[in-house]
Amino acid sequence: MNLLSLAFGNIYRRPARAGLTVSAISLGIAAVVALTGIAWGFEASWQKANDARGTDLIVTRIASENAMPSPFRAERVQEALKGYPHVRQVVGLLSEMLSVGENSPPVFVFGWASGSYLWDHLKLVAGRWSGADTEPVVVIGSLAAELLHKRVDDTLEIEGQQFRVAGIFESPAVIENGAVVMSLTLAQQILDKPGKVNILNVKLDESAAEADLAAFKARVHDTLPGFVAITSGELVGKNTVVRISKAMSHATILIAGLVGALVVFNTMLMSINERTREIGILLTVGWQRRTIMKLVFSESVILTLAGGLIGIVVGIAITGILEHLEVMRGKIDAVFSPAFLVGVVGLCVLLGIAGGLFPALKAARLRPAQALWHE
Amino acid sequence: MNTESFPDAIVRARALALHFDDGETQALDGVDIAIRAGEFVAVVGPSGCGKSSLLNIIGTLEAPTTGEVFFRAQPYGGIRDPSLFRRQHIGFIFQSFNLIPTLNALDNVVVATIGVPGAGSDQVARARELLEKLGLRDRMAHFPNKMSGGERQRVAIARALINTPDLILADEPTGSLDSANSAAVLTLLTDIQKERGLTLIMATHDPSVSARADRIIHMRDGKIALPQDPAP
Repeated sequence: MNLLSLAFGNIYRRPARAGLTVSAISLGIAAVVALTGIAWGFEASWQKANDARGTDLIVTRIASENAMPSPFRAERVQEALKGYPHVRQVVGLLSEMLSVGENSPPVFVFGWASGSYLWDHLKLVAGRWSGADTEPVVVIGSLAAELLHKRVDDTLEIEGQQFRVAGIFESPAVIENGAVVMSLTLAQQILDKPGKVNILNVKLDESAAEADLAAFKARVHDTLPGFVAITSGELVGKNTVVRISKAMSHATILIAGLVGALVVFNTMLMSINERTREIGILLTVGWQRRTIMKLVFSESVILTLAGGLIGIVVGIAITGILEHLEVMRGKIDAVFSPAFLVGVVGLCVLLGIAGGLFPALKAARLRPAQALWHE
Repeated sequence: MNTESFPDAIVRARALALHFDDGETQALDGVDIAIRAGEFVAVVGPSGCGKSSLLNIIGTLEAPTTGEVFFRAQPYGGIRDPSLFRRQHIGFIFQSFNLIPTLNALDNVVVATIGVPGAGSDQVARARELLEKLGLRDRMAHFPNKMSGGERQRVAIARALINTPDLILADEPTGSLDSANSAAVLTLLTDIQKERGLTLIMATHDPSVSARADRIIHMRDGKIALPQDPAP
């Protein structure tokens, strides 16, 4: 027998209370894991989509903070950017989340300039790419095909217009896999935004270095008032939805942390009060006060760690279920990095220490003679 | 008594007083005692006379309101960690056994070694050895509620001995036992005390118990009531 086995034994002897405490903590941690995984996944999905296209810089309006920045007239800016050093392509992109037919979940509809490098990362798995700029056809991601129950040569109704599915593709980014892609010209037409794009994707030549990217950004800042050149990561970081979901996950961490610490505090305080005489015995036989504190901390940390580990599993399971719900498919792609999960475990240890601090101090300060006579 | 007349005292107390309730209750009132190393001293007197309070103070479970206690001439006031002092020097035995109900007999003994640097399998082996010696070879896995009073007290004795103390403080150790168990436990205790040269201070109001002591200290109303029997 050692301190740890004694701590486990003390928890095990009150299974109902320990179970309730672990359940409360695991629920809080599950919420933290699910929300944070979704928030980070949302950010990572957008970044992955931008990165997969091979875009080096994105030029958009300064104030744009939506998932997709507000559309703007592109011609003047696009022409100006083409004259910048190292620029290989400047390609417009227009996007909107739209309902595609009745009883179908909304999907992203992307308009990409025909023949541009934006298409290069997609892998065609059925059918063909769209032909002429104005041909009323679309290509759809494999996930979108599944969600919309569409195959090659089926038709899609978008904003009252009929489009034929020319091909089905796969992309490394889940957002694109769940999307409908058409030519930029068609997208501008059906969305009634002629000549407008949400962002301009800039592809630089291979000789461009970090310093050239910085120079590009500075030049946009100096010569194109109201516009900004940013990386895909910076664009995602400005995204209001990403910010809100991150803020929600932070708030959840705070609330779950407070509730978890309070639950542990309450459990340990009750336990210490019930075990006053037992602690008196331990003090009498020579346990040092720091050993008593270690015992209480061990018990509280075991509770929070058990709750945390269960919470991590439940949180990941909940997210998995959400990802497979028809209404959510293709929109979330939760990310659980090892560092985040280690951080959650660390949070649980902190909760155990915080919740156990006062009960541990109270136990360690008991006077053995009085504690021995406690009923 | 003149405590200076015991130059080899392991425990010496001078003018001990212990007050409760803002001085309204005087558990001890000017107690002077000296206990020699290796002595078996019985502290006798009626309930409430201060026997347990005296043992609690000698055992550092309680601090006196006034007065001084010395362990081998070291003042208690200089002890930085009373818990460590208890573990190194003192073993306790109580009337109500004070075993932990959720631990079996072996673990109730081993628990006293947790936190001891280097404690481990050696201490488990030592606990087994002690329990075997106390006649509990087949009862080590039993929990206190499945043991008789005599068995429980023998577990408590093993726990008191596990850290090889110099001094055993026994507060009415036979008070909850029938006469047969009482005699058996007392014989065990005195045998171990003689064999190991331990100092044993036992609070009791049972004359048959105190009769086996080397010396008897009588207490009444928180004071030493009668001149002590001479030390052997």
